[in-house]
Amino acid sequence: MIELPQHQRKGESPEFVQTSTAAAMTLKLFPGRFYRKAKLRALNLLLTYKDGCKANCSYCGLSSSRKINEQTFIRVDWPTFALDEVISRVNLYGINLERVCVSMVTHRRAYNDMLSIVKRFRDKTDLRISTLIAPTLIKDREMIEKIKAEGADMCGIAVDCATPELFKALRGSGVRGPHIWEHYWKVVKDAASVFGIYNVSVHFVVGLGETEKEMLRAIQKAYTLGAEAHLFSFYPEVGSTMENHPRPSIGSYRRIQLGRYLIHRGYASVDDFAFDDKEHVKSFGVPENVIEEIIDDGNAFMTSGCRGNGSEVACNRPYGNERPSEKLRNYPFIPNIEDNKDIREQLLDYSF
Amino acid sequence: MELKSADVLKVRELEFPLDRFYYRGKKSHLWVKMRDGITEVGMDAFLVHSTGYLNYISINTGEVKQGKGVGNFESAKFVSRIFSPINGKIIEVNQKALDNPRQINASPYTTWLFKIEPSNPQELEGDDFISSSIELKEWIEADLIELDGE
Repeated sequence: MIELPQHQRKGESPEFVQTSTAAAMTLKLFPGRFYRKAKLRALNLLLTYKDGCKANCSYCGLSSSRKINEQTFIRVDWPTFALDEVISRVNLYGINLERVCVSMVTHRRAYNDMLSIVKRFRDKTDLRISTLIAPTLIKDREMIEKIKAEGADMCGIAVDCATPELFKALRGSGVRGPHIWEHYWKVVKDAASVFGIYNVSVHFVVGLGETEKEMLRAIQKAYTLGAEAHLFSFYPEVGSTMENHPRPSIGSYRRIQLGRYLIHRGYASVDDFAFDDKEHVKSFGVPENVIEEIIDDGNAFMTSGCRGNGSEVACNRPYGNERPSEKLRNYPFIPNIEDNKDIREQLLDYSF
Repeated sequence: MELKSADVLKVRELEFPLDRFYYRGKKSHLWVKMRDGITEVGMDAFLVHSTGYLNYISINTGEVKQGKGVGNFESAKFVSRIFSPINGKIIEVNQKALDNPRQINASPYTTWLFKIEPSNPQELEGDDFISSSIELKEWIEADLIELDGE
Protein backbone atom coordinates (compact mmCIF):
# COMPACT_ATOMS: atom_id res chain seq x y z
CA MET A 1 0.00 0.00 0.00
CA ILE A 2 1.01 3.63 -0.41
CA GLU A 3 3.34 4.93 2.29
CA LEU A 4 2.63 8.11 4.15
CA PRO A 5 5.37 10.77 4.31
CA GLN A 6 7.97 10.21 6.98
CA HIS A 7 8.24 13.27 9.15
CA GLN A 8 10.96 11.88 11.36
CA ARG A 9 14.31 13.33 10.46
CA LYS A 10 16.46 10.42 9.41
CA GLY A 11 19.78 12.20 9.53
CA GLU A 12 21.61 15.46 9.30
CA SER A 13 23.39 17.46 6.66
CA PRO A 14 25.61 17.07 4.80
CA GLU A 15 24.58 13.40 4.37
CA PHE A 16 20.89 14.33 4.44
CA VAL A 17 18.93 17.27 3.10
CA GLN A 18 15.34 18.39 3.20
CA THR A 19 13.67 18.88 -0.17
CA SER A 20 10.59 20.87 -1.08
CA THR A 21 7.47 18.82 -1.81
CA ALA A 22 7.78 19.88 -5.46
CA ALA A 23 11.36 18.62 -5.56
CA ALA A 24 10.41 15.34 -3.89
CA MET A 25 7.63 14.85 -6.46
CA THR A 26 9.91 15.67 -9.38
CA LEU A 27 12.48 13.17 -8.14
CA LYS A 28 9.72 10.57 -7.64
CA LEU A 29 10.40 10.45 -3.92
CA PHE A 30 6.85 11.65 -3.30
CA PRO A 31 3.75 10.80 -5.32
CA GLY A 32 1.77 13.57 -6.97
CA ARG A 33 1.37 15.79 -9.99
CA PHE A 34 1.30 19.52 -10.63
CA TYR A 35 -1.94 21.33 -11.33
CA ARG A 36 -2.05 22.81 -14.84
CA LYS A 37 0.91 20.59 -15.72
CA ALA A 38 3.45 22.98 -14.20
CA LYS A 39 7.02 21.71 -14.35
CA LEU A 40 9.58 22.30 -11.66
CA ARG A 41 12.82 23.72 -13.09
CA ALA A 42 14.91 24.15 -9.95
CA LEU A 43 15.45 21.84 -7.02
CA ASN A 44 15.20 23.50 -3.62
CA LEU A 45 17.20 21.86 -0.85
CA LEU A 46 17.49 22.85 2.76
CA LEU A 47 20.20 21.86 5.19
CA THR A 48 18.84 19.94 8.14
CA TYR A 49 19.98 19.45 11.74
CA LYS A 50 18.45 17.69 14.72
CA ASP A 51 18.70 20.83 16.80
CA GLY A 52 17.30 22.94 13.97
CA CYS A 53 17.81 26.52 12.90
CA LYS A 54 19.15 28.78 15.66
CA ALA A 55 17.25 31.82 14.42
CA ASN A 56 13.86 32.83 15.65
CA CYS A 57 12.12 34.61 12.79
CA SER A 58 8.45 35.22 13.59
CA TYR A 59 7.03 34.11 10.28
CA CYS A 60 9.27 31.13 9.56
CA GLY A 61 8.39 27.45 9.72
CA LEU A 62 11.96 26.71 10.75
CA SER A 63 11.95 29.08 13.71
CA SER A 64 13.27 27.58 16.94
CA SER A 65 10.26 29.08 18.75
CA ARG A 66 7.68 27.35 16.55
CA LYS A 67 5.16 25.69 18.81
CA ILE A 68 4.58 22.52 16.83
CA ASN A 69 7.02 19.97 15.55
CA GLU A 70 5.99 19.98 11.90
CA GLN A 71 8.37 19.77 9.02
CA THR A 72 6.51 22.33 6.93
CA PHE A 73 8.17 25.39 5.52
CA ILE A 74 6.64 27.89 3.09
CA ARG A 75 3.30 26.05 3.20
CA VAL A 76 4.32 22.47 2.36
CA ASP A 77 6.17 19.43 3.69
CA TRP A 78 9.94 19.41 3.39
CA PRO A 79 10.81 15.73 3.78
CA THR A 80 14.35 14.59 4.53
CA PHE A 81 16.28 12.33 2.15
CA ALA A 82 19.84 11.09 1.78
CA LEU A 83 21.87 13.42 -0.42
CA ASP A 84 23.18 10.44 -2.44
CA GLU A 85 19.59 9.45 -3.22
CA VAL A 86 18.70 12.98 -4.29
CA ILE A 87 21.72 13.26 -6.57
CA SER A 88 21.17 9.88 -8.20
CA ARG A 89 17.52 10.76 -8.85
CA VAL A 90 18.46 14.14 -10.34
CA ASN A 91 20.38 12.20 -12.95
CA LEU A 92 17.51 9.75 -13.46
CA TYR A 93 14.44 12.00 -13.41
CA GLY A 94 15.69 15.58 -13.54
CA ILE A 95 15.21 16.12 -17.25
CA ASN A 96 13.42 19.46 -16.73
CA LEU A 97 15.71 20.62 -13.94
CA GLU A 98 18.21 23.36 -14.71
CA ARG A 99 19.33 24.46 -11.28
CA VAL A 100 19.65 23.39 -7.66
CA CYS A 101 19.50 25.79 -4.75
CA VAL A 102 21.27 24.76 -1.54
CA SER A 103 19.83 26.73 1.37
CA MET A 104 21.70 27.21 4.60
CA VAL A 105 19.96 27.55 7.93
CA THR A 106 21.44 29.46 10.86
CA HIS A 107 23.47 26.65 12.39
CA ARG A 108 27.18 26.50 13.20
CA ARG A 109 27.78 23.62 10.77
CA ALA A 110 25.77 25.02 7.90
CA TYR A 111 28.48 26.92 6.02
CA ASN A 112 30.89 24.01 5.66
CA ASP A 113 28.09 21.56 4.95
CA MET A 114 26.69 23.85 2.27
CA LEU A 115 30.12 23.98 0.61
CA SER A 116 30.39 20.21 0.62
CA ILE A 117 26.90 19.80 -0.88
CA VAL A 118 27.65 22.39 -3.58
CA LYS A 119 30.80 20.48 -4.46
CA ARG A 120 28.87 17.21 -4.66
CA PHE A 121 26.37 18.69 -7.08
CA ARG A 122 29.15 20.26 -9.15
CA ASP A 123 30.94 16.93 -9.42
CA LYS A 124 27.93 14.65 -9.90
CA THR A 125 25.31 16.62 -11.89
CA ASP A 126 25.01 19.14 -14.71
CA LEU A 127 22.78 21.46 -12.73
CA ARG A 128 23.63 25.11 -12.23
CA ILE A 129 24.03 25.82 -8.54
CA SER A 130 22.62 28.58 -6.36
CA THR A 131 23.16 28.96 -2.68
CA LEU A 132 20.80 30.71 -0.32
CA ILE A 133 23.22 31.83 2.34
CA ALA A 134 22.67 32.70 5.99
CA PRO A 135 24.45 36.09 6.32
CA THR A 136 24.68 35.83 10.10
CA LEU A 137 27.22 33.01 9.57
CA ILE A 138 29.15 34.89 6.87
CA LYS A 139 31.96 36.76 8.55
CA ASP A 140 33.90 38.07 5.58
CA ARG A 141 34.11 38.36 1.79
CA GLU A 142 36.45 35.37 1.57
CA MET A 143 33.69 33.08 2.76
CA ILE A 144 31.57 34.22 -0.21
CA GLU A 145 34.47 33.78 -2.61
CA LYS A 146 34.83 30.19 -1.44
CA ILE A 147 31.18 29.46 -2.27
CA LYS A 148 31.77 30.61 -5.83
CA ALA A 149 35.03 28.67 -6.02
CA GLU A 150 33.23 25.46 -5.02
CA GLY A 151 30.86 25.77 -7.98
CA ALA A 152 27.90 28.06 -7.25
CA ASP A 153 27.19 30.65 -9.93
CA MET A 154 24.40 32.52 -8.15
CA CYS A 155 23.83 33.52 -4.55
CA GLY A 156 20.67 34.48 -2.69
CA ILE A 157 20.18 36.36 0.55
CA ALA A 158 16.81 36.25 2.29
CA VAL A 159 16.46 39.74 3.73
CA ASP A 160 12.70 39.05 3.69
CA CYS A 161 11.65 42.28 5.44
CA ALA A 162 11.37 45.59 3.59
CA THR A 163 12.40 47.91 6.40
CA PRO A 164 14.97 47.87 9.22
CA GLU A 165 12.18 48.27 11.77
CA LEU A 166 10.35 45.16 10.56
CA PHE A 167 13.60 43.25 10.27
CA LYS A 168 14.52 44.05 13.87
CA ALA A 169 11.02 43.24 15.13
CA LEU A 170 10.55 39.97 13.25
CA ARG A 171 14.08 38.63 12.89
CA GLY A 172 16.38 40.55 15.19
CA SER A 173 16.34 41.72 18.76
CA GLY A 174 12.53 41.93 18.77
CA VAL A 175 12.36 38.12 18.81
CA ARG A 176 15.75 37.55 20.46
CA GLY A 177 16.99 36.55 17.04
CA PRO A 178 20.61 36.82 15.91
CA HIS A 179 20.11 38.66 12.63
CA ILE A 180 21.22 42.23 11.96
CA TRP A 181 19.84 44.34 9.09
CA GLU A 182 23.05 46.22 8.33
CA HIS A 183 25.08 43.01 8.19
CA TYR A 184 22.61 41.41 5.75
CA TRP A 185 22.97 44.34 3.34
CA LYS A 186 26.75 44.30 3.69
CA VAL A 187 26.67 40.65 2.64
CA VAL A 188 24.43 41.56 -0.32
CA LYS A 189 27.01 44.12 -1.42
CA ASP A 190 29.92 41.72 -0.96
CA ALA A 191 28.08 38.93 -2.78
CA ALA A 192 27.36 41.23 -5.75
CA SER A 193 31.06 42.05 -5.97
CA VAL A 194 32.00 38.35 -5.86
CA PHE A 195 29.30 36.78 -8.06
CA GLY A 196 28.80 39.77 -10.37
CA ILE A 197 25.83 42.10 -10.57
CA TYR A 198 22.44 40.44 -10.93
CA ASN A 199 23.94 37.04 -10.13
CA VAL A 200 22.88 37.81 -6.59
CA SER A 201 19.31 37.89 -5.36
CA VAL A 202 17.55 39.33 -2.36
CA HIS A 203 14.43 37.48 -1.22
CA PHE A 204 11.58 39.60 0.04
CA VAL A 205 8.42 38.27 1.69
CA VAL A 206 5.52 40.54 0.79
CA GLY A 207 2.96 40.93 3.55
CA LEU A 208 5.04 41.05 6.73
CA GLY A 209 3.61 44.44 7.65
CA GLU A 210 5.26 46.78 5.18
CA THR A 211 3.53 49.16 2.78
CA GLU A 212 3.73 48.84 -1.00
CA LYS A 213 5.99 51.88 -1.07
CA GLU A 214 8.35 50.39 1.52
CA MET A 215 8.60 47.12 -0.37
CA LEU A 216 9.25 48.82 -3.70
CA ARG A 217 11.90 51.02 -2.08
CA ALA A 218 13.60 47.88 -0.74
CA ILE A 219 13.44 46.26 -4.19
CA GLN A 220 15.01 49.39 -5.67
CA LYS A 221 17.72 49.33 -3.00
CA ALA A 222 18.62 45.73 -3.85
CA TYR A 223 18.63 46.44 -7.57
CA THR A 224 20.85 49.49 -7.15
CA LEU A 225 23.33 47.30 -5.26
CA GLY A 226 23.41 44.81 -8.15
CA ALA A 227 20.97 42.25 -6.77
CA GLU A 228 17.69 41.05 -8.26
CA ALA A 229 14.69 41.00 -5.95
CA HIS A 230 12.85 37.68 -5.73
CA LEU A 231 9.37 37.86 -4.30
CA PHE A 232 7.46 35.58 -1.96
CA SER A 233 3.93 36.13 -0.73
CA PHE A 234 3.59 35.67 3.02
CA TYR A 235 1.73 32.47 3.96
CA PRO A 236 1.11 31.99 7.68
CA GLU A 237 2.86 28.92 9.07
CA VAL A 238 0.79 27.05 11.64
CA GLY A 239 2.48 27.25 15.04
CA SER A 240 4.68 30.23 14.12
CA THR A 241 4.40 33.53 15.96
CA MET A 242 2.70 35.02 12.91
CA GLU A 243 0.27 32.15 12.32
CA ASN A 244 -2.69 34.56 12.56
CA HIS A 245 -1.18 37.36 10.51
CA PRO A 246 -3.15 37.98 7.28
CA ARG A 247 -1.71 37.30 3.86
CA PRO A 248 -1.06 40.32 1.65
CA SER A 249 -3.94 41.27 -0.60
CA ILE A 250 -3.56 40.00 -4.13
CA GLY A 251 -3.90 43.59 -5.38
CA SER A 252 -0.87 44.68 -3.37
CA TYR A 253 1.09 41.65 -4.46
CA ARG A 254 0.37 42.29 -8.15
CA ARG A 255 1.35 45.96 -7.91
CA ILE A 256 4.62 45.02 -6.21
CA GLN A 257 5.29 42.39 -8.89
CA LEU A 258 4.66 44.97 -11.61
CA GLY A 259 6.77 47.61 -9.87
CA ARG A 260 9.60 45.14 -9.45
CA TYR A 261 9.45 44.24 -13.12
CA LEU A 262 9.52 47.89 -14.19
CA ILE A 263 12.57 48.52 -11.98
CA HIS A 264 14.39 45.40 -13.17
CA ARG A 265 13.72 46.00 -16.84
CA GLY A 266 14.71 49.64 -16.69
CA TYR A 267 11.28 51.10 -17.43
CA ALA A 268 11.19 53.09 -14.21
CA SER A 269 12.66 53.58 -10.78
CA VAL A 270 10.75 53.74 -7.52
CA ASP A 271 10.98 57.54 -7.70
CA ASP A 272 8.73 57.46 -10.79
CA PHE A 273 5.94 55.68 -8.90
CA ALA A 274 3.15 57.66 -7.24
CA PHE A 275 1.59 56.45 -3.99
CA ASP A 276 -1.59 57.34 -2.12
CA ASP A 277 -1.73 58.28 1.56
CA LYS A 278 -1.71 54.57 2.52
CA GLU A 279 1.38 54.09 0.38
CA HIS A 280 -0.39 51.95 -2.23
CA VAL A 281 0.86 52.44 -5.77
CA LYS A 282 -1.50 54.73 -7.69
CA SER A 283 0.64 55.18 -10.79
CA PHE A 284 3.79 53.59 -12.16
CA GLY A 285 4.89 56.62 -14.16
CA VAL A 286 5.08 54.76 -17.47
CA PRO A 287 2.66 55.01 -20.42
CA GLU A 288 -0.52 52.94 -20.20
CA ASN A 289 0.28 51.05 -23.41
CA VAL A 290 3.55 49.84 -21.89
CA ILE A 291 1.70 48.52 -18.84
CA GLU A 292 -0.84 46.81 -21.12
CA GLU A 293 1.93 45.11 -23.08
CA ILE A 294 3.60 43.94 -19.87
CA ILE A 295 0.34 42.46 -18.62
CA ASP A 296 -0.24 40.69 -21.95
CA ASP A 297 3.30 39.34 -21.89
CA GLY A 298 2.78 37.93 -18.38
CA ASN A 299 6.42 37.61 -17.34
CA ALA A 300 6.09 40.24 -14.62
CA PHE A 301 3.69 37.99 -12.73
CA MET A 302 5.64 34.76 -13.05
CA THR A 303 7.71 33.48 -10.15
CA SER A 304 10.86 35.52 -9.67
CA GLY A 305 13.93 33.43 -8.99
CA CYS A 306 17.37 32.41 -10.15
CA ARG A 307 17.78 31.93 -13.89
CA GLY A 308 18.29 28.60 -15.61
CA ASN A 309 20.32 27.80 -18.70
CA GLY A 310 18.94 30.80 -20.57
CA SER A 311 17.49 34.07 -19.36
CA GLU A 312 14.31 32.49 -18.03
CA VAL A 313 13.68 31.82 -14.37
CA ALA A 314 14.50 28.28 -13.27
CA CYS A 315 13.37 28.64 -9.65
CA ASN A 316 9.65 28.65 -10.45
CA ARG A 317 8.34 27.10 -7.17
CA PRO A 318 4.91 25.87 -8.40
CA TYR A 319 2.16 26.54 -5.81
CA GLY A 320 4.76 27.51 -3.25
CA ASN A 321 2.82 30.54 -2.05
CA GLU A 322 -0.75 29.41 -2.31
CA ARG A 323 -2.95 26.36 -2.49
CA PRO A 324 -3.49 25.16 -6.06
CA SER A 325 -7.20 25.92 -5.65
CA GLU A 326 -6.46 29.60 -5.05
CA LYS A 327 -5.59 32.43 -7.41
CA LEU A 328 -1.91 32.12 -8.16
CA ARG A 329 0.43 34.70 -6.67
CA ASN A 330 3.51 33.55 -8.60
CA TYR A 331 2.78 31.90 -11.96
CA PRO A 332 5.18 28.99 -12.55
CA PHE A 333 4.35 29.20 -16.27
CA ILE A 334 3.33 31.97 -18.66
CA PRO A 335 -0.11 33.23 -17.61
CA ASN A 336 -2.84 32.44 -20.14
CA ILE A 337 -5.57 34.80 -21.41
CA GLU A 338 -7.84 34.02 -18.46
CA ASP A 339 -4.99 34.63 -16.03
CA ASN A 340 -4.23 37.96 -17.75
CA LYS A 341 -7.84 38.97 -17.24
CA ASP A 342 -7.54 38.17 -13.52
CA ILE A 343 -4.25 40.07 -13.28
CA ARG A 344 -5.80 43.20 -14.83
CA GLU A 345 -8.60 43.15 -12.26
CA GLN A 346 -6.26 42.36 -9.38
CA LEU A 347 -3.93 45.26 -10.18
CA LEU A 348 -6.87 47.59 -9.61
CA ASP A 349 -7.97 45.86 -6.42
CA TYR A 350 -7.40 48.17 -3.44
CA SER A 351 -9.71 46.32 -1.05
CA PHE A 352 -8.07 44.71 1.97
CA MET B 1 -24.58 -7.16 -7.88
CA GLU B 2 -22.05 -9.91 -7.19
CA LEU B 3 -18.52 -9.64 -8.46
CA LYS B 4 -16.55 -12.70 -9.43
CA SER B 5 -13.56 -12.58 -7.12
CA ALA B 6 -11.61 -10.57 -4.61
CA ASP B 7 -8.41 -10.77 -6.61
CA VAL B 8 -6.18 -7.78 -6.90
CA LEU B 9 -4.77 -6.44 -10.16
CA LYS B 10 -1.33 -4.90 -9.84
CA VAL B 11 -0.14 -2.32 -12.36
CA ARG B 12 3.39 -1.14 -11.56
CA GLU B 13 3.18 -0.59 -7.79
CA LEU B 14 -0.54 0.22 -7.83
CA GLU B 15 -3.19 -2.22 -6.68
CA PHE B 16 -6.78 -2.56 -7.89
CA PRO B 17 -9.05 -5.00 -6.07
CA LEU B 18 -11.37 -6.74 -8.51
CA ASP B 19 -14.31 -6.85 -6.12
CA ARG B 20 -15.65 -3.50 -7.34
CA PHE B 21 -16.26 -1.31 -10.37
CA TYR B 22 -14.05 1.57 -11.51
CA TYR B 23 -15.61 4.75 -12.87
CA ARG B 24 -13.67 6.40 -15.70
CA GLY B 25 -16.23 8.98 -16.81
CA LYS B 26 -14.92 12.58 -16.82
CA LYS B 27 -11.43 11.06 -16.47
CA SER B 28 -12.35 10.10 -12.91
CA HIS B 29 -10.63 7.29 -11.12
CA LEU B 30 -13.25 6.36 -8.55
CA TRP B 31 -14.05 2.92 -7.25
CA VAL B 32 -17.69 2.00 -6.78
CA LYS B 33 -18.92 -0.86 -4.68
CA MET B 34 -22.49 -2.00 -4.06
CA ARG B 35 -23.33 -3.00 -0.52
CA ASP B 36 -26.95 -3.78 0.47
CA GLY B 37 -28.33 -1.67 -2.37
CA ILE B 38 -26.19 1.33 -1.50
CA THR B 39 -23.20 2.45 -3.58
CA GLU B 40 -19.96 3.23 -1.78
CA VAL B 41 -17.60 5.50 -3.68
CA GLY B 42 -13.87 6.03 -3.11
CA MET B 43 -10.68 7.07 -4.90
CA ASP B 44 -8.66 4.42 -6.70
CA ALA B 45 -4.91 3.88 -6.34
CA PHE B 46 -4.12 5.71 -9.57
CA LEU B 47 -5.96 8.83 -8.45
CA VAL B 48 -4.38 8.75 -5.00
CA HIS B 49 -0.90 8.17 -6.42
CA SER B 50 -1.20 10.85 -9.10
CA THR B 51 -2.65 13.42 -6.71
CA GLY B 52 -0.11 12.93 -3.94
CA TYR B 53 -0.74 13.35 -0.24
CA LEU B 54 -4.27 14.64 0.12
CA ASN B 55 -4.82 17.77 2.18
CA TYR B 56 -8.44 18.73 1.56
CA ILE B 57 -11.60 17.01 0.35
CA SER B 58 -15.10 18.44 0.16
CA ILE B 59 -18.28 16.58 -0.80
CA ASN B 60 -21.77 18.02 -1.25
CA THR B 61 -24.78 16.00 -0.17
CA GLY B 62 -28.22 15.59 -1.76
CA GLU B 63 -29.39 14.62 -5.25
CA VAL B 64 -26.61 13.92 -7.74
CA LYS B 65 -26.40 13.31 -11.46
CA GLN B 66 -23.88 11.06 -13.16
CA GLY B 67 -20.86 13.03 -14.37
CA LYS B 68 -21.74 16.17 -12.42
CA GLY B 69 -19.42 17.63 -9.82
CA VAL B 70 -20.09 16.74 -6.20
CA GLY B 71 -16.92 18.02 -4.58
CA ASN B 72 -13.20 18.72 -4.80
CA PHE B 73 -9.96 17.15 -3.68
CA GLU B 74 -6.64 18.86 -3.22
CA SER B 75 -3.03 18.01 -2.44
CA ALA B 76 -0.09 20.38 -1.99
CA LYS B 77 0.30 20.86 -5.74
CA PHE B 78 -2.88 19.62 -7.41
CA VAL B 79 -6.61 20.21 -7.25
CA SER B 80 -9.52 18.67 -9.13
CA ARG B 81 -13.26 17.94 -9.05
CA ILE B 82 -14.98 14.80 -7.86
CA PHE B 83 -17.77 13.71 -10.19
CA SER B 84 -20.67 11.52 -9.27
CA PRO B 85 -20.37 8.10 -10.91
CA ILE B 86 -24.13 7.51 -10.89
CA ASN B 87 -27.52 9.19 -10.55
CA GLY B 88 -29.05 9.13 -7.11
CA LYS B 89 -28.76 10.77 -3.74
CA ILE B 90 -25.69 11.13 -1.52
CA ILE B 91 -26.92 9.85 1.81
CA GLU B 92 -23.70 9.77 3.78
CA VAL B 93 -20.27 11.36 3.66
CA ASN B 94 -17.25 9.85 5.40
CA GLN B 95 -16.45 12.75 7.72
CA LYS B 96 -13.45 10.93 9.20
CA ALA B 97 -11.87 10.77 5.74
CA LEU B 98 -12.66 14.42 5.10
CA ASP B 99 -11.11 15.39 8.44
CA ASN B 100 -8.01 13.29 7.77
CA PRO B 101 -7.66 12.90 4.00
CA ARG B 102 -4.28 11.18 4.31
CA GLN B 103 -6.20 8.17 5.57
CA ILE B 104 -7.14 7.75 1.91
CA ASN B 105 -3.47 7.76 0.87
CA ALA B 106 -2.80 5.05 3.44
CA SER B 107 -5.78 2.89 2.59
CA PRO B 108 -7.75 3.96 -0.50
CA TYR B 109 -9.93 0.86 -0.79
CA THR B 110 -11.11 0.66 2.79
CA THR B 111 -11.77 4.40 2.99
CA TRP B 112 -14.95 5.27 1.18
CA LEU B 113 -15.74 8.93 0.51
CA PHE B 114 -19.50 8.98 0.17
CA LYS B 115 -22.49 6.69 -0.22
CA ILE B 116 -25.16 7.06 -2.89
CA GLU B 117 -28.63 5.66 -2.92
CA PRO B 118 -28.74 4.88 -6.63
CA SER B 119 -31.71 5.75 -8.86
CA ASN B 120 -30.84 2.91 -11.17
CA PRO B 121 -28.27 0.26 -10.13
CA GLN B 122 -28.10 -0.94 -13.75
CA GLU B 123 -26.00 2.13 -14.53
CA LEU B 124 -22.96 0.20 -13.32
CA GLU B 125 -23.19 -1.88 -16.47
CA GLY B 126 -22.56 1.21 -18.65
CA ASP B 127 -19.41 2.00 -20.64
CA ASP B 128 -18.08 4.36 -18.01
CA PHE B 129 -17.52 1.46 -15.61
CA ILE B 130 -14.79 -1.15 -15.70
CA SER B 131 -14.64 -4.38 -13.78
CA SER B 132 -12.64 -6.75 -15.96
CA SER B 133 -8.94 -7.01 -15.19
CA ILE B 134 -7.93 -6.85 -18.86
CA GLU B 135 -9.77 -3.62 -19.51
CA LEU B 136 -8.67 -2.21 -16.18
CA LYS B 137 -5.01 -2.98 -16.90
CA GLU B 138 -5.16 -1.30 -20.32
CA TRP B 139 -6.83 1.78 -18.88
CA ILE B 140 -4.44 2.17 -15.95
CA GLU B 141 -1.37 1.58 -18.09
CA ALA B 142 -2.50 4.21 -20.60
CA ASP B 143 -3.13 6.74 -17.85
CA LEU B 144 0.22 6.01 -16.18
CA ILE B 145 1.98 6.64 -19.49
CA GLU B 146 0.11 9.93 -19.82
CA LEU B 147 1.09 10.82 -16.25
CA ASP B 148 4.74 9.98 -16.94
CA GLY B 149 4.65 12.49 -19.77
CA GLU B 150 3.51 15.40 -17.59
